Amino acid sequence: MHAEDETGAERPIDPLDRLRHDLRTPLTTIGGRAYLLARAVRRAPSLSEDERTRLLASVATIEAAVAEMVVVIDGIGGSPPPEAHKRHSRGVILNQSRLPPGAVTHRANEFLPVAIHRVAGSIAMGTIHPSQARLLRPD
Amino acid sequence: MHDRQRTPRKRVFAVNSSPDFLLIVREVLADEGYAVTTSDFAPNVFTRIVMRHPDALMIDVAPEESVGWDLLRGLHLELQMSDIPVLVTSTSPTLLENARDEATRYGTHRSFLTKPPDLDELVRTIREMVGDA
Repeated sequence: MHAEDETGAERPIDPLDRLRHDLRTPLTTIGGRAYLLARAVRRAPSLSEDERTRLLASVATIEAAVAEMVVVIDGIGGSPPPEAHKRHSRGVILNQSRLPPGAVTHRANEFLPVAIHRVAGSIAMGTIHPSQARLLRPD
Repeated sequence: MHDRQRTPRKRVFAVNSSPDFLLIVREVLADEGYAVTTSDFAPNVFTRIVMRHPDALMIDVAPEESVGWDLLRGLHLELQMSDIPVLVTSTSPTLLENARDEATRYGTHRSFLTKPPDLDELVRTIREMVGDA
């Protein structure tokens, strides 16, 4: 079978895609819940403006952390993201432009232990080779 | 209130293996006035889609999971369903590129969104797909 005859499901994919999928899936839940929480905060009539601002800023830091973690995940494997990654990651990265000044923090560090645990699990299962796990190596 | 209260609500059918993602999609799109049906990759999901005949579909493609691809192919082959706009979602930019290539090869128009998505963008895309933009 020629490559151009292969369906999307049949084409070989980067083995690290499984890991990226496992990491991006809970981030999708976190980001989605943050979105719903922000919506509820904006609509809550009982909140003062000060409370609303503080809560929305907190949600914004969650969104920023998700966006930063996506960048970290796309860097797994050590290679720069291809054009496809840049194009498809755009929606998430653009989230940062909606954040209030100063809201973008370094919260990605808080997710790193989880990511490292996942990477270690994938190595133990043989899904990826240790040399592919940039997260486990110091810069 | 919106005119959508007086007109039949547009129907969106979302297929994904993540119950959390489906719940979020349901809450976000229902708030926009859409009637949302969700399903995991159950064996009868294609039949359910055909029976529901939604105005827009969201189908996820995931690593090592063939159901999403089977659905996309089945929708292309089913004449009555081939005109339904489809938003393909995935955590994998690589798989989305594969889906884009496949859509180009089939000559079908699809929209694409990486997870985690910008949910405002998701809403805008669905609006465009069903002609509400």
